[in-house]
Formats: sequence, structure tokens, C-alpha cells
Amino acid sequence: AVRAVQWNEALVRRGATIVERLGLCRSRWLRELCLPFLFCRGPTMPQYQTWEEFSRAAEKLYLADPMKARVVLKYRHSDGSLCIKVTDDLVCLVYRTDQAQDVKKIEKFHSQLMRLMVAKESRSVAMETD
Amino acid sequence: MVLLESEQFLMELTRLFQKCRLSGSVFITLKKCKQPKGSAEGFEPSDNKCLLRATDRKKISTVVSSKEVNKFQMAYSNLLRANMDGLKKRDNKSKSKKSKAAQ
Repeated sequence: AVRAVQWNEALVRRGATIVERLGLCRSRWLRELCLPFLFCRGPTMPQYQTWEEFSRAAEKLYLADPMKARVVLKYRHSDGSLCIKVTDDLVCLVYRTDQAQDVKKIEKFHSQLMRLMVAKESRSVAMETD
Repeated sequence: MVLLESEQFLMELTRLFQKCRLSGSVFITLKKCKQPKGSAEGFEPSDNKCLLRATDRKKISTVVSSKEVNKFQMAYSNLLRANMDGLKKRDNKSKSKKSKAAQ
């Protein structure tokens, strides 16, 4: 179990997604034993440094299971900080910022997700690709 | 948790932002949801609604469906942009522009 946690932390540091981690996990015992560890976020909740990485990962997370995922925005005017979190209660992706230029990106992303959630299955609205 | 109509939700959300300008946080949660139990629509197996919640200790929420989304989204976007204005403006660009202009 210790080896599994270390392996997982190393992958998290490398930036591996959950899907990648599961794929790399060839041995069956490793998969079964380590499923909870694979889903743990490594030493800390993965906080993304760039918006592009975050939005790609968040979009994938939402599309993997639209009913489970939720988006949380936290705005603090007193601190001048904005934080967006996308989670499905197993994986939690966070992007924090104090830059005004990110407000527009975050708000657009939020609206895009809203449209995705509300769109009928037959014609799902495609997200903007980078 | 107060469930509101879209327009009322937007008004209350504006008020939440204004209340929290000096201290406190505004949390907004967005989640896809199925038909809420209260409504009587039996023939519409709608899976295409989303729940929007906002809180600053006082909780408000609204359900948005595909019919309302266009109008609601424009108003909502403007609201967010207008209220989330306390973040740092990018000074690097203006400084580099000035230095380039000077050269």
C-alpha cells in the first residue's frame, strides 16, 4: 500500500490524469488494491498553474460523468481572489487566481458548462477547443 | 435553501455580491440535475436542466432549463463580470507597451 501511494504521488507530480494512472496500472492486484489511492489527489489537491491545463482537465472530468460533476466558484472581493473547482467527489481540480484577465475566462467556461448541462443529448454543444 | 425564479435569482445574486464586498465569500455552485420533484410535468422526461446555487451563508438557488438558458446566460455573464471586478489588473502588458513605445 505504501508503494502504491508513492507511485501515485509520483504520477500526480508528473501531472498524470486519473485515466492515465488507471491505464498505467497494469498489474491487477495493483489496480484492485490501489483504486482508492489512485483516486486520491496525491499530497495535495491538484491546483493547476495554467488555465489551459485546468480547463482541459475539467472539461474531461465533466464529460466523463455529467451527472456527478459539479462546478464551484468562490469569489472573495476583500482578498481579490477567485477560485474555480470542478469535482466529481472523487477527483478535485482547482484553479485559483487573483488576475482580472482570468475572470472572463472563468466566466466563459462556467457558461459553457451550463450550456452543456442544459443541452439535449442529441445535439450536445461542443466545448471550445484550444 | 430558497428556490427562486431565474430573474429573482439574478437580483438576489447581485445583492449577495454587493453584501460581500468588504468581507466574506460568495460561493456559486453549478450542477446538472434531473426534474425537480415539485413540478407536475409527467410527459417531459427532461434530463436537461441545471441547478445553480449561490450562498453567502444565506442560500439561494434556481433551476435553469434549455428554454431559459439563452436569456439567463447573457444576464448571468454580465452579472459575474460586473461584480467580480476586485481582482488585480494586468500591469505587465501596459508597462511593456510603454517601454516599447519609448523605444
